[in-house]
Formats: sequence, structure tokens, C-alpha cells
Amino acid sequence: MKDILTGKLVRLCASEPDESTKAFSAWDRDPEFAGLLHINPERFWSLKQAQKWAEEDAEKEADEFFFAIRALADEKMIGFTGLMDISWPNREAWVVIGIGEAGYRGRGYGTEAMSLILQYAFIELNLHRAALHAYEHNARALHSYEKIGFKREGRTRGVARRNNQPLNSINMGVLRSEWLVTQKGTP
Amino acid sequence: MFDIQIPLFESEDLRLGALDYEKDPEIEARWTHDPEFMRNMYLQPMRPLSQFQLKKKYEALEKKIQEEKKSYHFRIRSRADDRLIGFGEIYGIAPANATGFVRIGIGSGGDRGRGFGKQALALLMRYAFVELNLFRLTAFIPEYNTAGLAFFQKAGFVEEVCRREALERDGRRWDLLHYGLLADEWRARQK
Repeated sequence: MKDILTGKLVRLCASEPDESTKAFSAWDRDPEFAGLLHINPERFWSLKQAQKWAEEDAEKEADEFFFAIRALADEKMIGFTGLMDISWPNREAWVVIGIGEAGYRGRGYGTEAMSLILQYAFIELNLHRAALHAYEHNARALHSYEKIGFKREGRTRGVARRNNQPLNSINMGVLRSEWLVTQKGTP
Repeated sequence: MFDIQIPLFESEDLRLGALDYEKDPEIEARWTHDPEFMRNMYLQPMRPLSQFQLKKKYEALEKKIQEEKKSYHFRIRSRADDRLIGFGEIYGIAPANATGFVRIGIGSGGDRGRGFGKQALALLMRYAFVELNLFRLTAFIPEYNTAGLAFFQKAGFVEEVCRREALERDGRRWDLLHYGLLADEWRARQK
């Protein structure tokens, strides 16, 4: 049976609250990571509070599925990906992803991780569609998502505001049927 | 210029106001049994509610509004006889981004097509753009809600996103549209 959470470069896995909390607080200090990822302004929380929430989240078993992304070569936690705001009757989920370790961006790790989370969404959760949005100026991400099979579905003007200027996002979506076509011929 | 004399909560026929735990549940309970109303208002499956459940829902709503401070809920009543006509919300507000979502519903079929929705939406938009200083409003409209699409288009909203096949109802897939209106666009229409 195929390991749907493991690719050639990365694998998706669960992480202990203390490791992921520390990783996130380090990644959030990278302006490129924080600036491209966050819609709302971020606060700093103490390690104690952040860990408490991470533990509460882990206990909740909410309708969200978050994974750590680990590089296969050295087991380093390089980012996160997940499915959230899931509507079960409509079988749609929103996908989020971020590569926290700057050295691992632009090298195919994120693209493969996105491919794995979609595999989880369509093959394990039997969802019909995955949606996402990313800032219009995040060209690298948009290109990666299109390579995977996401189709542009629109543009949200002023989804966020910084320095009193509106930032726009591109909305994208991929259907299960479309994704399956991209998988044909993949072992 | 900002004119404090322009009423925020009253239009020709309607008045926006707060929940009424005594009078509203009986009327709204009926609306929750109306598939057309429920499927146009909400993206989740319709679920008929008892008056008891509605009162609990009102409590939870007011608690959530108080704690999160991210939404404004308005009851729409007729000025003539204080009758509950519907409700509207500005919700999901992100203050730093000055963005929000809007939904509005006229509960009874007999009250639709009489200009009440238009009046109520006008009040909500004024509240959003003049009082809350939002930069934009978003409305989620299912493809099958053709009256809703026309309604928001007439108000100046523009289709921004088409979430293809995002909804499944009556055994088939439907698109979910995101309609958006910017504060500047709303202001231009007020001239």
C-alpha cells in the first residue's frame, strides 16, 4: 500500500506541541515568511501560552488537519501544511502551507508537500474540492499551485491592508476529478 | 462630509434593531423550516429549529459577538407595526484589514419583492462604510440564488471569485460566488 504522506523530498507528519511551537515562533520572525503567509497582523505570545494552545488543539480533534513537513534527507521540520474550514456536506476544504526554513524555498519542497496534502484530501478524506488563496504578489506560490493543478478562480481586492494600502489575493481551486487527471501515470 | 443627521438604523419602511427573545423565536422558527430561505442564507444543510433552540442560538450569538467583537447582527423590523421582517449581519470583520462580510435575509416570501431587502442592505452598507470604516464588503452567494445575485449586482457588488462546484445540493454541484464592494465604489454611488 502506497504511503500517501511520503514523497521523494518530504513527508507529512504529526509533531509534538513543543517542537512545532518553537519552530513557528522562529519562522514568524522571518519577514518573508510572515509577510507572505499572514492575512491578519500577528502578535507575539509567550512560549508557555503558544504551547498551551498547541496542546489544546492537539486534544481537540477539530475539523482541521495540520501536518509538519519534514525533509526526508535529514528529518528537519521545514514547514507546515494543512486542511481547514472543512465543509463535510459540501466536501470542500481550504489548504494552507508555509515553508518556514528559508533555505528550502524555491527548491520543490513546497510543491511536493502541497501535492501530498492534496493526496490526503482527495484519497483519504474523499473531498470533492480544495480551495486556497494567496497574495497576488506571491508569484512563487501561485506558480507552484498552478503546477500542481489549481485553477485561478478570481481575485479578492483588498483582502488585507498594510501601510494603508490594499493587498489583493488570488483565489484558486482544484476539483478531485482535475487532480486525478494530473496523477495519471504516477506510480 | 460626515453628516450625523443621516439615520443609520431607519429607512422609509424599516428599522434595524436588537434581538427580541420574546417575539422573534416564534417567527424565525418558521423561517428555519423554509428550504428556500435557509438554502439562500446559509451554505450548511438547512436545519429546522424549535423556539427553544433559537433562544439558545440567540444567547450563543450575543456571547460570541461580545467575546470576539468581529460582527454586528441587526434585526429588521417594519416601522409601521414593529413586525420582524428579517435580519442582516456584518460579520467576520478583520479590523486591521478593514474587511467584512455581509448577509441579509427577508424571512417570509410575502415580504420579498417589496423593496425591503434593498432598504435593509442600504442601511447595512452605510453602517459598514461610514460607521465601521470598512474598506470592502464580501457577500457569498450560491449560483442557484439567482434573485440574490441580481440583488447584490444592483447594489453595485461585483463578482470577484467563482468557487467552482463548492456546494452540493439536490444531488448536483453548484458554484459559490464571492461578490465584493469597495468603500470607494459605494461612495461613488452615493453622489
